[in-house]
Amino acid sequence: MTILTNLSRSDGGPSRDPAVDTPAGKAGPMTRRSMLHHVGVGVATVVVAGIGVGSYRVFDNGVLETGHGNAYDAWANWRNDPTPLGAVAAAILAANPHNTQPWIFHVTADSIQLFADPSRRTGTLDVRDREHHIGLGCALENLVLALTSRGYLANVTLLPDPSDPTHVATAGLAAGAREVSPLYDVIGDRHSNRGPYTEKAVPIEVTDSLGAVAAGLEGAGVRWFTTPSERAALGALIIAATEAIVNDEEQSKDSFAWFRSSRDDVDTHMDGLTLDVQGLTPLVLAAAKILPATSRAAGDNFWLDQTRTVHTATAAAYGVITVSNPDDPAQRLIGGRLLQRIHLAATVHGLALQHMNQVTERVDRDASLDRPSSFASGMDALLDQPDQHALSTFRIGHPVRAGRLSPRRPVNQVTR
Amino acid sequence: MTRPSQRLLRPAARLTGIGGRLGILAGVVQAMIGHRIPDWSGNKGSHVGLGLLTVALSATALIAARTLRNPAVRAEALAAITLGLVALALLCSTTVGRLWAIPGALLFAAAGITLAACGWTRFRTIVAANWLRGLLGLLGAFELLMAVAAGPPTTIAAGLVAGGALVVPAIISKPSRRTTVTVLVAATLPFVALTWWTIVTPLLSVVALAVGLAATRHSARSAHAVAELEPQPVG
Repeated sequence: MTILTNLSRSDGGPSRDPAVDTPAGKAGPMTRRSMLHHVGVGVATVVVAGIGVGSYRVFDNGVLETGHGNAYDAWANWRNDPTPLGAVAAAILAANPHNTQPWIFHVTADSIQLFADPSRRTGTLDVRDREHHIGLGCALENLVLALTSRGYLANVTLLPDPSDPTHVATAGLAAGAREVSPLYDVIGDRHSNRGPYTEKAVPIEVTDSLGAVAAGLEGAGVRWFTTPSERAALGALIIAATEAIVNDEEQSKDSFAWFRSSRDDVDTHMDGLTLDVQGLTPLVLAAAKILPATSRAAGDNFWLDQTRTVHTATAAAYGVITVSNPDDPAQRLIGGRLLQRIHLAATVHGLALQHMNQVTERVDRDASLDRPSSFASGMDALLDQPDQHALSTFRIGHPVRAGRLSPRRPVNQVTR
Repeated sequence: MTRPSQRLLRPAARLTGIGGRLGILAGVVQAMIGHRIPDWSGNKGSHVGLGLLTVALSATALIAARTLRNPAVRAEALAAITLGLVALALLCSTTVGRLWAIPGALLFAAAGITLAACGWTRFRTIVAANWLRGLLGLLGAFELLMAVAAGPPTTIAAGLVAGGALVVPAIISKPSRRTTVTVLVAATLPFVALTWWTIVTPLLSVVALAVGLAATRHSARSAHAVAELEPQPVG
């Protein structure tokens, strides 16, 4: 007889220990000890089940692999390719609005052409394509830095084809002297840092040196807001603009459309804003990833609260990129190049930087609706520079913690 | 004439073997070209790690298939294989996406047939008697799940060691109290130190220690209950 056959003999037999079920479930009278045992086992089971759910969320939402995986490979591999295509790998790490990555590159034997991708606009949040073009300017700056480090002249022509407004720039591939800028070296270390900054001030010499990188970029400049009163005034305007965006359902929806709340979303789209880049402490970040995704309203409230209590409250200084005509695509591209240079230069100095364009988002929103904008007049008054207008705003400071990586689409997805 | 349980074990072994082999194939495909077929592979960020995990887990199905072919297989083994196949089928559905559809279905079917071969009453008794050890093993599986989705290799290694350490006291028949505490604390501590901010890993380690100690105390009584299922001497 096999063991299996013999096993049936014991079916229905009594158990000698009431603490465990008998084969037929015929336990003896329930004692206090056995009852406590059953309760204990039940509680342990529920706790283990809860840990199971938590573990699955840790696994599924990538709590332990922040900044790792295909969506983040671009940050690790951007220097590997010495060819012009490798310069594109550097360009795609540029700052850009809501991490929409609104670019397409066309690499030929004698040039790299940069095109705007109209499908990657942020709707009413950037209704006049201001940030769209600024982001392309940032990518152009990285592209030029990467090409010159590879021994190309990289002579840039903005908007080379009047019949095609999406063709925003061409960078030539004529041979030139190889120049590796310190700004190029930190392309992979530059991240928008939305976390708190320390109370340490940014010395005037540092802001001066950051502003000095504007050399060669005609028409764009930077206005610094460093004194407490200046910072308070601009901070108040930014908070008011944030409130206006949150209360504008269309802008709120268009902003939320680019938020990737799960790891699956990140892996699928490789773009957008993620929990990782919100500047949270590791503990809060982990909890945010493990708990269910938040609603748009909750996200808006969080953003407004962070703008009040962290972003404006801990800004050591603000910078505003200025141009004479913010509606001119060429000036936006040049301003974008300057913005990227300043961000890279800030990275060289160990400073953190966060782009804060709420005010100009409201300026353009009001203009698109043909209504007077208190934000436009308010910003002009703060700038106090005749014939110059705000193109883009950012804050800088010494970071409490390092900025985290944002997802990036690989080169093969943005070239044609 | 073949006895019912024996008759059931053969198809269970066959399905488990085929499911395991197809699972290994799915893991290899995920590891090698998972990023190129995102619609099929679940569009995972760490396709290589998850593919290799699927290969390793599917290999355990082959061991189970081999065990099922043994005519003297014990009821406890059948119960363990039933639960293991269900856990495997569920777990790998999260690692290789649609590639797991066929292996998963085969392993679920194999689990059902294995359960039938074991017998529901025996299965219930065995599961009840080993419940705490099962929970400990489950915690080990959770730890492994988190480890394979971790980032730096050091964290992955620490997580694999921790997960493995939780499984060991669960499968050793009579681990001593000291062994249990030593293994659980020493092995899980590095992973906890590297990932304390997740909240889940330190909580898991504390619960594992409590469950492990309870399982150690309970094991003698459990063995006693299960002993009633063992073959009785003739005469």
